[in-house]
Amino acid sequence: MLKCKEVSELSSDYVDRRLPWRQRAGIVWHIFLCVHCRRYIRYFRLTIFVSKKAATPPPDHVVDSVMDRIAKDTSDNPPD
Amino acid sequence: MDDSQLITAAPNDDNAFRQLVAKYYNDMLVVARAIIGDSIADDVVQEAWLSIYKSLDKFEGRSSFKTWAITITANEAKRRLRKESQTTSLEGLIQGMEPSMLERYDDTGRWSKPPTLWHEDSPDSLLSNQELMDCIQHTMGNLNEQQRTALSLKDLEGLSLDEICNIIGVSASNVRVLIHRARQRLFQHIDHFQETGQC
Ligand SMILES: [Zn+2]
Repeated sequence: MLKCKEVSELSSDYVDRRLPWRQRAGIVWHIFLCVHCRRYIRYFRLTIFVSKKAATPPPDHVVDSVMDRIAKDTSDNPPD
Repeated sequence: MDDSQLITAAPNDDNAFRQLVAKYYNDMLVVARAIIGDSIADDVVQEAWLSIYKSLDKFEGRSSFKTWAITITANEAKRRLRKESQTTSLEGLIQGMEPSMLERYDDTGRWSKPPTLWHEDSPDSLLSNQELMDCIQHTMGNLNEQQRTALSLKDLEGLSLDEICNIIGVSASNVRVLIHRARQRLFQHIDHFQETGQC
């Protein structure tokens, strides 16, 4: 049986569904039996979920500054 | 209009180009911030848009426009990083687990300090705790540059490991480990916050 530490080591591959079925089954079996790892995997998924949401909010008026930059470049380097 | 129509129209139609900018600016900003930090990230993204504007006719649609735009941004950010000579080595010594996480297991590989029971353990209750969200942002800001880039590209931008390898130029197994350690670090901070109320 996998050790708790190995479950932890494989937890990203497990939640991203990147493991071969044998290892995946090993983790499923382990967390069925082990309350700590069951909790860890649940919290690890939550961590990924809330981290996505904590991303910085979009800035305003960015489009104008891009267009200004392009306009400036075009006037500095007019096409032949 | 969908992306391919916008891209076709953009060289002669400012409005189409503006739509592309509005749609992808933030994805690019996430990448630029991760590589080079907040202060000049916007500048890098604007420079990237200038390159995109000039080379729209070279876009062949082999990858998605988003991946293409992100790659151009990453290259521009890395070029600036070199210019400012703060460059860090990209292929460092990488272990499979976040060190502070390793300490939570005993010699037999069992938990010596299992996860705390979290007060907030649903997505909604976690998200509504502003102090915790600040803590998560703070923790992300303190990840090392490689971890932050890999995590942003994977969990925020939803890119595949192969795409991430190409952008940051490390092997697939190292990308995997960078992401895993960044996530474990975040887990550790949330777990600590739930236990102590402090970041
Ligand atoms: Zn266990």
